[in-house]
Amino acid sequence: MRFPDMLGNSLASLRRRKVRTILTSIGVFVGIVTIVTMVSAGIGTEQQVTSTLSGLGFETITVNPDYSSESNSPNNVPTHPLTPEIVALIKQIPNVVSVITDISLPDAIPEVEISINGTSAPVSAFFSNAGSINPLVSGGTISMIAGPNFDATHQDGVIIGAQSLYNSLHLVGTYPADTSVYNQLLGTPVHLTVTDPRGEQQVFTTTIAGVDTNSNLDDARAPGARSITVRNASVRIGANVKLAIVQWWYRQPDYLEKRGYSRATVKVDTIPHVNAVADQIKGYGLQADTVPALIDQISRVFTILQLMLTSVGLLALLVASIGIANTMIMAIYERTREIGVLKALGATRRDILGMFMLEASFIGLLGGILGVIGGWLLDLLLNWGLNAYLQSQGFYVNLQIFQVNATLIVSALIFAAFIGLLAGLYPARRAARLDPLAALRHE
Amino acid sequence: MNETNIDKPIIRLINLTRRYKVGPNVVEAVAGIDLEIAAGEFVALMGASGSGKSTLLNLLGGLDTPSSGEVWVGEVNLATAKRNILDQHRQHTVGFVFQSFNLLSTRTALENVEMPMLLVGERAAARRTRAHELLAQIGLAQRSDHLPNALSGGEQQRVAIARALANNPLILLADEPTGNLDSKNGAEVMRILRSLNQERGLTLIVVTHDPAVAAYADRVVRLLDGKIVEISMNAAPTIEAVPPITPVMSQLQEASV
Repeated sequence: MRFPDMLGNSLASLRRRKVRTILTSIGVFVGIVTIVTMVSAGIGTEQQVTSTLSGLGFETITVNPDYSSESNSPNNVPTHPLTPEIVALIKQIPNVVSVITDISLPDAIPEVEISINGTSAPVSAFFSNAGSINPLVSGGTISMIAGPNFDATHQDGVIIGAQSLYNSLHLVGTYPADTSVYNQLLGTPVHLTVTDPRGEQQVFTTTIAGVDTNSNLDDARAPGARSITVRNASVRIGANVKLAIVQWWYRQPDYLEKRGYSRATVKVDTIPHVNAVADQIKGYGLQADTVPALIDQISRVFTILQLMLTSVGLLALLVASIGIANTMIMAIYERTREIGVLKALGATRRDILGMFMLEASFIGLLGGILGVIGGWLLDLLLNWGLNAYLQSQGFYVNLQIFQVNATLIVSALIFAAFIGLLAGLYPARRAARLDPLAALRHE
Repeated sequence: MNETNIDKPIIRLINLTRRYKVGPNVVEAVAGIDLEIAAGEFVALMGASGSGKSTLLNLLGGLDTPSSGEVWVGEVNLATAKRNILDQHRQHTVGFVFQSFNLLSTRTALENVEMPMLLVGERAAARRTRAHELLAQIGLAQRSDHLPNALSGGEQQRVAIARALANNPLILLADEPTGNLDSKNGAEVMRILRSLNQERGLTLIVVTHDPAVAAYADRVVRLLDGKIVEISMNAAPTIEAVPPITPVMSQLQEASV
């Protein structure tokens, strides 16, 4: 018997018993609705919480080289330096999205002076690493007005604060100025003058790569706020420029190979993966700092929630599969004579087995299709209800706690059909092994 | 298919025995039967109920397995054949006609005739064409879309015969084919069977207790308590090859060549 014929045969049998087929599939429907709703709650909650937390930088790991305990001087070479080779290894750890490396200028550097178009000002900020700025810690957020922020690939030039361009460097006549004004400044030559303890000076020439704004600084320096004379300029220097500075400072062209980066910020795709990645980085002898307790707790709550709710659905499906098995046993009892006739006409055991297993699978699949649709509708209803409730309590938010994705839909359908298949296994085997003579005599 | 080689036995039964356990007792439904049936022969198995004639037919059809002895059909001993060989035997070598027709009640006449071809994996278009031909040849072309319960007993049995012929079997096994029919319809069914035997060379084995049915056969085998008690040749078997059956059957013969 060819498979398409078997398929058609099974579908025709189910169509003849529409009411019974639908009633039996209701069990699967309930189970799948439960599971889809529960899993979609898991997906939605996780996504909402993760997207909220990732804005806070919780999916990042701060990596520092390890210094031996005896000699604590920062001028010492670290025992496990964060060399470019190690960075390459970290990039290859699964779930790592990006690695942003940074170099600190030595504390001994007394001052770096920035000079643009003849106006000079001391540089007040040395950090360049956009990823390492934790707004929870720094108390403000940095946003780019012009040019790209420093990231894993872009570490050239300097990014200057918009207010410094106005206050300290007088490159723009107003604050805030029009974005096009800032854009025109991109590429302007910048001279950074570094003086070493012996009085030797070195000028590093680079360009303006971007203009940013720092929210807490802006608050203090916004027009109308208390007037502060600020001579220092807020300048973020790209790691490549800083590398040139430290190479000169230490007179060490192979600075990176010997001492390595000062720190790296490793971005991981999702919060639950953070700990595993951090452990692996520690395996290279480096320090890896995360927000571990919180992350642990969040993943544990998700796991428990999903396990608990999914088991409710599984219980429903267990009951449903007993229902399918019962329906199939009934159907086979009613069709015993038909099975006998089919066997006399040459049907093999496999034909009979396949016919009834397919029928059972279709009952499961039907319940699965209805269940996915039902679960999705329930999700919409629950999201709407939740937000309506929150709004009635004065929280004007739009939370999508229940979310369905393609993986969930496809797995739910396959799972439902599989439940049917499993439930049909025993009845179908019984039908396949029926003695044809006894079946033919059956009334 | 068309040649009728009367001399060569297509069926050979050697000391065939089938015992059943009925409660504490063992009943020998078939008790040591030796019989040869030639290709193209028309044999009637007669006897009272419980004489073992139906059991013998089921053994020939591969629906039942003997307790001992041999059932040779062609080159195959069904007594020792594996299940897939028995499946092939039922698919291709034999066709069954039952007393109670045993049409699949939820399927139309056409679908019933298609079923054996479907089971052997014939494509839909090919089996539909052949099923239509077969129904036309038994004069039921107009009834092909009817469900069995919309057909008379005679019509149902004719559909059952068309179904038995679907895969071009060598042997047709009929268990009381006229048992549920009135004499007119019974005679018609027997005329069709006789024509198939005569014009197609189909080997026919009919179980009956009706002497009028047995009268169509070349040879009558009488059974009693599972043993053969008498084998008689019919000197002049009933051949009522009157119209319209003959033209129909010649078409059938042409179609099957």
